[in-house]
Amino acid sequence: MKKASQPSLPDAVAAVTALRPTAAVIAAEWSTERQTETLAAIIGDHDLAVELENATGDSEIRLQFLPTVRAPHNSWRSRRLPLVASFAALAAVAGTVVALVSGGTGSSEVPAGSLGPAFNPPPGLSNSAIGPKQYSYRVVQQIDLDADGQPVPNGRDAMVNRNWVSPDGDTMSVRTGSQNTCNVFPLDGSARIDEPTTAFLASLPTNVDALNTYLRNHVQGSSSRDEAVFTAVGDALTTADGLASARLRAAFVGVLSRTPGVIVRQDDTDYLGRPAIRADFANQSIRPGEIQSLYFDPTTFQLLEKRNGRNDQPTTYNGPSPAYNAPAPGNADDPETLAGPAFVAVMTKEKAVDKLPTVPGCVTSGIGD
Amino acid sequence: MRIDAGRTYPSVVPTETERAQFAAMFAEMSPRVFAYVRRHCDSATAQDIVSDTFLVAWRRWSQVPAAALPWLFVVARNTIANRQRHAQRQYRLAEAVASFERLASPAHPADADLIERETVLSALAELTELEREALLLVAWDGLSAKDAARVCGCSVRAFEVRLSRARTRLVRAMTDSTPLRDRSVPHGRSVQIDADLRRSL
Repeated sequence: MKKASQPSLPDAVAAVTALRPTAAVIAAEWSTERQTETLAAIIGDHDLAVELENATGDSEIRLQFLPTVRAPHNSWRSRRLPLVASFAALAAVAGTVVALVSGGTGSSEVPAGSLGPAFNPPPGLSNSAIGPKQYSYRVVQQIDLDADGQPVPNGRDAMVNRNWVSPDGDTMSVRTGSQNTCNVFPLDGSARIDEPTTAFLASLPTNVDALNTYLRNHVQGSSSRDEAVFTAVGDALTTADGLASARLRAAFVGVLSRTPGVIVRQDDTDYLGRPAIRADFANQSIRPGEIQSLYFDPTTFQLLEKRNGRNDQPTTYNGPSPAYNAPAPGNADDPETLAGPAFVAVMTKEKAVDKLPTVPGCVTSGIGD
Repeated sequence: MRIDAGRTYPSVVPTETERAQFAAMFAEMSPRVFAYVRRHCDSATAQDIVSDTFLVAWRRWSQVPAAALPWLFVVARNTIANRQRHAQRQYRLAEAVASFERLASPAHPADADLIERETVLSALAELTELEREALLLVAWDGLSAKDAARVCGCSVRAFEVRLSRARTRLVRAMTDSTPLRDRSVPHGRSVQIDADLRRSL
């Protein structure tokens, strides 16, 4: 194997050029079949969206937004400090503010001064939901965030999820992105908190204490009753948010503010930068390294976002929920310093509509009948 | 749809002509974009990035210039950068070097009797990542200095300086008679790779 003793500049560059990858080398990895699949997926997604737009008159459907860069889920400490600093001001307008958790089991463990008044819904909220002949139409963008808070391209769960829910709890779900499907889910059995109807939600008390009692007596699953309540609120509103009245949704927030392990704060923003009431559930004993969050519109109390954040290296902290016993600053195992990949499901649109879209291959007969 | 303050999105229904144009562009350009992307990541990731790149092109079809390749490279570069910063840190530069070595034509160059394939690839590996990128954008991707500068995100002048330096260092690396494996560590590839990697993060 001979080596050039003194190649000239043109020779050297020509030698590089001569090694340009051949079509055969590229085709071995970027095959014609793969190209065809990719092209079909790109145009196919768009076509489905166009069909939906034509069917619904919703010109926003096709505009699957490119996620904007957002800061990662802030640490609890960095967000809690200004809240604590302004605690006196918040207390002065109690009744319309959200502060740290109160009440519930284990309250005796709460450090003095870390509690504030529980959230009480403001008066005058509407007690009506969608009409009997309408559907609650809700668009949710699902985004996988990496450890730095950046959207993961082609994330496993990245998609746009569009749901039309009838007052009777039947759901038509169209997903585009990592899934391209249309499914119809008729109400399975009787209405319940995670699969509600308008009538079911209207039957729930809007008094916070009464609703709290109801939920604690009826929720099941999860590793704790507290978590089950938190999960139930999220489940009730994830798809069927429009079936609930603003008054009931606000009462849900009031319940969360009284649930052990939940920290509620009013001065946050959701992934899209909208003002939001944020409720975090964390229990390092049963969910080490995790924070589950719900974001609510501070005026309508619509569920704006659900977020699950975690740390790939679960904390070794094994104490009670930081809502009740925040660890000392500087503790390396401080669960408040969570920073890791997250899953975000953010609502980009919600409204009442009068008809369902016609999607090829998606049978909707019986929905809402 | 306003989903972020101050941002609105265009809404254009593509015609059949536009679909055909896009498909033709895809067929012509996607292998070249893949070849570019493949130099920076593994095959599966490269396929995803090419898909993302052309999805952006389809969504912004009215903005894609007639000479689409540099535009596509810029989109691909941004996608690669995002992944490498945040999700692909495990993809080491050493693997990037292996990527372009795999991609390089297995055929001997016309002047094979003068400069061997192995020698050229070894010399390329001696360049910094930026220098190698500059050289390959011109020699392999066929871009002009102006277009390559766009892809690199620098001025034409800066690119020309970088390219000139790359050529000079390439020749020097080819004429260095010391086998790579026998060179002392401070001048070896691993140190340069580490330095490049740190810069790229």
